[in-house]
Amino acid sequence: MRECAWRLPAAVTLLSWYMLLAGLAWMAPYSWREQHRDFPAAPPTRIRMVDPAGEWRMPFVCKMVPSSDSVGSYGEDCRVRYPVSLLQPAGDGRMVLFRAESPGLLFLFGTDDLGRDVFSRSLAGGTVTFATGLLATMVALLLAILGGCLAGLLGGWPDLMISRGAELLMALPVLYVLLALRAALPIQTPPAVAFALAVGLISILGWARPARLLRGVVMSTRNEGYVMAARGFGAGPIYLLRKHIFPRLRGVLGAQAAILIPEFMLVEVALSFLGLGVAEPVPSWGTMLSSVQYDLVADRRWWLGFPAVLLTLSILLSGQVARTLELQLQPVAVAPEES
Amino acid sequence: MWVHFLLTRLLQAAVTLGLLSFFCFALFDWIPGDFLTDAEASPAVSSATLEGLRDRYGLDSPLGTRYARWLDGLSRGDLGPSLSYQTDAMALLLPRLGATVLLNLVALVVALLVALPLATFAAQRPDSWLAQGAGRGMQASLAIPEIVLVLLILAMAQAYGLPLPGGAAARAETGWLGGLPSLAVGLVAPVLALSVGIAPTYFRHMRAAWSEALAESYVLAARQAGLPPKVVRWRYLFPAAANPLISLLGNSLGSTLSASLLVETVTGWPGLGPLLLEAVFSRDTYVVVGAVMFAASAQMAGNLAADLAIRRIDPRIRS
Repeated sequence: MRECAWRLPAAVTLLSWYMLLAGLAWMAPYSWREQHRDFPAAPPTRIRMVDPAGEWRMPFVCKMVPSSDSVGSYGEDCRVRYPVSLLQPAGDGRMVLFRAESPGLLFLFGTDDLGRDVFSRSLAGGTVTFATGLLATMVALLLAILGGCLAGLLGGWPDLMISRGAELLMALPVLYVLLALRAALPIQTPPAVAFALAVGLISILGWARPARLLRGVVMSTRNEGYVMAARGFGAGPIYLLRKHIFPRLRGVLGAQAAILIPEFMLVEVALSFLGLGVAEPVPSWGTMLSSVQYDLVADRRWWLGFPAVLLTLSILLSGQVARTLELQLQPVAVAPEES
Repeated sequence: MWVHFLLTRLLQAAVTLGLLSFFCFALFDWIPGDFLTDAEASPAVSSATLEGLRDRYGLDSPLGTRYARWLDGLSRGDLGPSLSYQTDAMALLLPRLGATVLLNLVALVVALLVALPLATFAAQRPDSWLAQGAGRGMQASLAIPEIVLVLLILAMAQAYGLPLPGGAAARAETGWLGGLPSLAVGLVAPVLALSVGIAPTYFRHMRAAWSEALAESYVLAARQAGLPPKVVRWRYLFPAAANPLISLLGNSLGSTLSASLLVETVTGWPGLGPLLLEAVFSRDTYVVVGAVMFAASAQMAGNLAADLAIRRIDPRIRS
């Protein structure tokens, strides 16, 4: 069983990637809301090993000097050096990934227009985006389990209504419907409400496909010999669900979770990119990228594109893992041409 | 037989659209506030004016009345008024729908023109360097999120002077023939962004379908019987491989439309997307409903066309 051997490592890789992001967000050099008002739009700080005299030293950063003639251009004064240290406690007692000795500043990926550290914000934004994707997936899968089991077990008109409802949802362009639903809700909301709205809307639109898959599995399980036998012995629906049906659903659920999390993360990114998700000052990869739209093009602040790199890496990794899991956990549901 | 099929599908589409529109209306009704809520705070607008406007657009009438009036208008090709543009929503939406459909069709054609020849080649000679390279490249571009892709294109447009659509459509309005060159130039960036996102899916599916078709016994039989390669290709391989391809075309239209919304918004292509977004922010209810209706109908029309095409091409379905 060579294939099964891949299942665990794939899931572990993915989980550790997101845990790494969240962990790093916690150990970020600066807070996501901390403004360095004297250093807006600063390019990434260079970490140097050689001082002006040409001597090798431990990694250090030079003092950043805002140039007097224009905002967002900076010089370096390398006569003043601040050594870089790894994994040292910062002023607030938090263990920090890396930092320059104060008052030195180290912006690994520069700062945005408001002087906030892009690196720290990207990590925090990734946590928001991932949390939305994860929560929305969980809610959507719960709805899907409910719908799929009801439809698969009861049959008849509940099945008809749920299946038709799912088909109806799948026949619509997601982003358009999402925007229409969002239009009916208050536009300016506190970040927490916007987060909850995003999770709710995404899961309401996303339950259809997993529900259909689950319904199929429930139906085929219901007609298995051993399930019929259990029913013949008088097993009730709760017993059937717990003992016979849920164990069969586990694989499909795992695979669907792996597929849906990146998908929903992208929907969150799109929503907040368009200004309808979590908004400033709370970062999400979407809100961060929406400002890139103008800064990258107008001012060539390429370092603001860093969240895009993280996002692409996450989706790439999730996609690979999802494919691995999909092939192994729900072989029935995978169309033959995909394998 | 196929008339029955067509009628059933049309009926289903109508029911879907009806449910969707009613749901939108009900939701807008349920949530407090409307298009004029912001104006209430302004001292420059008297309450008599507000009352007059509400009365004129029927914003105060009950949900049932408004929906019935909207349906009645719909039967005459009227989607209700656009409150912020002070014009018919239909007049506003139709050119935008045209632009979105044009962008999606061109992007689809470009993606297919790249993906299909590469895929058939990759299926026939899976070990060649071109097949391997195409496979890798397609896999990589599949992983790049659409939003990142658009931003990259935008940055490239800035760096290498790739023209953006801004203004192209305005020039195009001066007349189709006169505006055609500027329209085509404006299409480059959005089409590029959209088709790079679409192509890998088609490549993957077509490669799988083609190699599956190559292994079919009737293809082998046709070859052994000495039929010319061209006949084998178009009469035997193509119909077999076209089936999954066309259902994919139908099924992926929704995600293409969604991606198109992002592309349109970022590159400034005057499609349904930017208008919908604007209407969402200003709570221009009828435009929101109209845009969603159009997008949904476009997708369902695509699905239906795909199903009809499969029945036409693949003889195995018809029986």
